[in-house]
Amino acid sequence: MSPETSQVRSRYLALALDARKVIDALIVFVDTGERKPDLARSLKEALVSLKAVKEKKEIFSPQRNKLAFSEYYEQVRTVHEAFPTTEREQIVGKLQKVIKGSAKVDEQQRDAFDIIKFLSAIESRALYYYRPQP
Amino acid sequence: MPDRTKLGVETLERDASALFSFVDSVCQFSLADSESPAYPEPSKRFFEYIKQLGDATKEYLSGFAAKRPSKPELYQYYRQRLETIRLGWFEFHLHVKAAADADTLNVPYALVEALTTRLRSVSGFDKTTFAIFHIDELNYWEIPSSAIKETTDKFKRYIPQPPRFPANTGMIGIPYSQSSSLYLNFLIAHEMGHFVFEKLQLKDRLLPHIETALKTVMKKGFEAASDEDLQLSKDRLSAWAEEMFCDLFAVWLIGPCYCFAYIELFGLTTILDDAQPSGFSVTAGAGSTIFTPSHPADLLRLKQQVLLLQKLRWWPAIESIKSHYVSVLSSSQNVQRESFGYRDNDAPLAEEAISGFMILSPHILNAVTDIMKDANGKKLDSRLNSYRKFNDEIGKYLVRAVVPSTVFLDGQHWYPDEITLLNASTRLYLESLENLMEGVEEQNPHLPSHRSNWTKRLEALTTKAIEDHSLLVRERGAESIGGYFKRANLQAAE
Repeated sequence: MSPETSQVRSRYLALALDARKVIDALIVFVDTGERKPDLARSLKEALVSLKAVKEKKEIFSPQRNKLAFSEYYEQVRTVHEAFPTTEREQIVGKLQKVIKGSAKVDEQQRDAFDIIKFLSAIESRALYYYRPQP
Repeated sequence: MPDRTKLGVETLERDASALFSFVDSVCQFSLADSESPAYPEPSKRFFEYIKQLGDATKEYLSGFAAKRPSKPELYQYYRQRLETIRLGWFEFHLHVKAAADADTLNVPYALVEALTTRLRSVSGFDKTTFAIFHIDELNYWEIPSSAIKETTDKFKRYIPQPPRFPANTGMIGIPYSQSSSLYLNFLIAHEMGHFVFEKLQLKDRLLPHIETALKTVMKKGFEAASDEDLQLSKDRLSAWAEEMFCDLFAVWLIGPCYCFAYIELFGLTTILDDAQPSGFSVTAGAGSTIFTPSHPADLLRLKQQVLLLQKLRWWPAIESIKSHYVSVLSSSQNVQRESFGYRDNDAPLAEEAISGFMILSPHILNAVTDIMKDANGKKLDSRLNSYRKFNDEIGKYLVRAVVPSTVFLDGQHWYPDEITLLNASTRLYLESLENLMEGVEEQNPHLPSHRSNWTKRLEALTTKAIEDHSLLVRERGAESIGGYFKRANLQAAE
């Protein structure tokens, strides 16, 4: 495997690991209704990163990347491939609702479950691109 | 049909167990306590790190199924965590065997030590060490320790108390066949540059310049461009900038011998063509002018290296070397922007990125200039003066197959430094290897096999000298005079 290939592959792994971070925080919330301390932070980071995927002014900003959804072209591309803009915007809306936490808990949990499905699809696709093929 | 919840739990256990076995098998290759073969300290630390991470991962997997969510509809998403951990371990798996192959007998130990010592004189890098890995490809490769650290940091969320990756340890892959070479291994200096670039987060510093460069070139097209195309252009320019930085860093660190190793490894003497008035030819499709997604064109890289050599005042000393390698360096100065192109003609914004890179290049040189300072903020000595002082003397020793650890000049014994030794040896290799061969019967400098044998001999003599240097400068009574080490007065000691 060439260094170039390895470098690109590691970007997919970083994306998968970051998607997983948010999924894990959400699983606890959906399962128990408990808002663990890392939930709000993980969701906010996901929100910032998913918004950055579509904002040109953020592309050259060194500070923006809390999560690896938008640091490299391969990551942006993977998110775009997994979901069209409209679905991403819906998920951003659901993220905002769960972060705000003002709706009924079971409604928040349904939104959280949708976010899990969304992020899981990104994680799965990133893992697929990362995985060496026999 | 079995109960759905039970089946889910059972399969979680089985999947965790399969991953446990995989991690266990990777850790068995981690030779932290191995006495034979022996490993350099940084490699031992790397093995120890992998072993500890493996133990932490296995402990976590032992309780994975028991800590499952209570709602079965979440199992699928919980289970996928195993897959992410598994692929994280794929990343470590890549490096463990590569490190296990690189025991002390199979790494250019003296050179790595000499280059590391030199790097430690750069402010902020005084504790740096490097673990060496063997790779299959005939190329050199810095394994970004930040990527390993990042993966481990992210593992922290599932694996309790994973070990911390040694902060000052860099990891460099070298071709498995080149463990005893000297000259080609000068490219290790470039890989050290990647470690520095990453550690100082220079990409963040260059991003505003990258944006400005693209805006300057694209004008109104910048706003009209798609986000994906801009992202791609940013990634290209960042990658090219890092490679260029590493070249310039290497040139400053070890001098022109880096450029000669670069020319040799990538066969760049093929650009020379006496039939052309300019003495060189860049034909259509020639690789030396082509940018790839990760690397700028070779001839542009050489052009920038020469600019730095001129800035450091090395250039007159290089021009006097009688070798066609010097002609390659000189020729690179005459290659203009229009000769450079991108690998894929249809790639979006590729030409704009190349033009933007021309605007960006001075900022990369500035970044190198800013960091090449010692702990007192003084510019790092290029060792040019030392080369001027000792080059001829070192040549006289080497041409008689004598190790030039100590040379006699102006009535004194001196210990030439490693950088001077490397550059003086390279000069002899390029210019007058036949003089060394002429002193020995039945050696024909026109035969590649004979030349190759004597190149190896020259490399061995030089390697011994740089190895000796690290000891000699610690000799009781040895003095540093004007930056040059003078041997202790042994008669007075008697």
